[in-house]
Amino acid sequence: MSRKIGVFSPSDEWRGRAFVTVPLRELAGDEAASVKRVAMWRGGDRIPAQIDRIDPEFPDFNVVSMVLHNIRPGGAGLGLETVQLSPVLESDDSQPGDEDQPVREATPESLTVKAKGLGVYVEHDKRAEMWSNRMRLHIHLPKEPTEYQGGAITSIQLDDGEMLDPIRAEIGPRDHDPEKRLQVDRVRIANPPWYETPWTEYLVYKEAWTCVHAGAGPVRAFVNLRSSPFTVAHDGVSFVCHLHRVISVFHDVDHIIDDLYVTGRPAGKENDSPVQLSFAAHYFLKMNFSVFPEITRVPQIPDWFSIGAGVNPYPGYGFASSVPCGRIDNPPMDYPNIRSEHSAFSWELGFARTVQCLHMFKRKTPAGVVADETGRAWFDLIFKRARANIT
Amino acid sequence: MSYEMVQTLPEVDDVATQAVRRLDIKDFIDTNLDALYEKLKEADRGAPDDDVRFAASSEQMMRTIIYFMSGRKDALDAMAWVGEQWKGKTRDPNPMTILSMLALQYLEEEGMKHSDSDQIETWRRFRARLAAGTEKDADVAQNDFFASLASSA
Repeated sequence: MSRKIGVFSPSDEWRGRAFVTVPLRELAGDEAASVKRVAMWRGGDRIPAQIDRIDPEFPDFNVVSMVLHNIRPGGAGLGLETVQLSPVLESDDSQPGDEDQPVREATPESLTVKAKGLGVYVEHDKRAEMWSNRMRLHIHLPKEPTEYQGGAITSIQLDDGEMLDPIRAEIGPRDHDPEKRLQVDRVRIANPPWYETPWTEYLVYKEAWTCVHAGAGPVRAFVNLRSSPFTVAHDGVSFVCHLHRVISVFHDVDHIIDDLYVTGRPAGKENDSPVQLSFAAHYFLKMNFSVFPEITRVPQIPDWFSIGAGVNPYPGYGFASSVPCGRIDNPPMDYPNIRSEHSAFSWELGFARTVQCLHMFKRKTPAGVVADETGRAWFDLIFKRARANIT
Repeated sequence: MSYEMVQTLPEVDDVATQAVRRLDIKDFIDTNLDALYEKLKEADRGAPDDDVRFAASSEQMMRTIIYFMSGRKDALDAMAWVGEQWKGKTRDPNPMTILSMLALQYLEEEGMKHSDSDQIETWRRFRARLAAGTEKDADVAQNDFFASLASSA
């Protein structure tokens, strides 16, 4: 394979670290389906890279992911090519002793994929666990027992400390807030222009979620979760749709990446290929930042915000997205629990076909610093992120 | 404020209980006495010869519990309650500091009630250290405030 990959850095600053992807189909062409392994070379150095088959129904989503360090500035515009990489793709995955290769253990009840300190464990239809050297996530899949936790991340640990309920976690493992979670609770699909209402809203937190696919490698561990079906109907045509969340954890960082998309098939045509629909996601976060949380936004840049606390242990949360974020409600208008309304937040994103979100968690960090770090993460990892192209 | 003065007020325990009830953190303190005892021991070990630092750490610990374990409305109501009691007495107090000290008072009372003899000695030492630590930062006006709280309890 003689193709090269050019990495472009649209920034005036050096980057210490960058996560980049290239579509597997562009890189491997007709061999994309059979490629099993990738080795990526930067000059004489091998860098971490992996093949991620995100969604079996969408081969176009399959990517080669890699992590690079020390990327020189490419300029604030489009960015100049600053790094050239040489990929080597192989169809044979039976090379023993290669510790970059994930270990995959599947049983009828569960699936475990792990590689180099990153991993995913999925207990079918019940829960998913993801971990890196700094973070650990617990994802609740069924709608039972509460009927509001479908697909929610109900525990987020950073450096072995629970982030969603930091004080109770410090006191002990008992009596954590049973409502604590981070989830996409609803999704809006646009109506045709002649409709009276601009969109229809679908609740996805009241039903079960399922795992579509999971993977791990030296770059990241990810799980692709799918909501229960909801039907979008217009003028006699209806689509059976799902919201997908692809959640990724990485080495050495205090954030996770959450890629969202909606797929739909014409009702009654299960064998047809699915299509992507434009949608607007709505997030719900139940995390305790004290009774007086400090929300920071920059009005001119609605793509990120942060929430911090003015008292010890200064927990912080930063959200950044590839689409603008609307009003942040604290508490959400339909939130029923007055006693803990100070720790309930919700916000809506703008319409798009795919959305990339970043959730950052901090401890012992004043609210102003959380805001600075979130803004920087938005710029470096989403807005002006390093990009890789086949050259 | 003088913690020692607070303790000597005849009905200060009632005021402390009233404060933690208003803040809705009474159950949290009651069910986590052992863990909070360990936190105070940590503060004790962290400042073996510095009572002011011990008092500041203890107050900070209790302030954190109030901020994170109370409800927003409860916290605002309790602060308003402190403010009302204070109103017109002298210069403005920091309601959260006063609530923290009252909650500490409640914690120590409950700790002593539910401990064995060894632990009771330790609780007494905490109390003495808090008294010594806060006396150095005493504020006569705030003593007046506690007197007014006690009389209104």
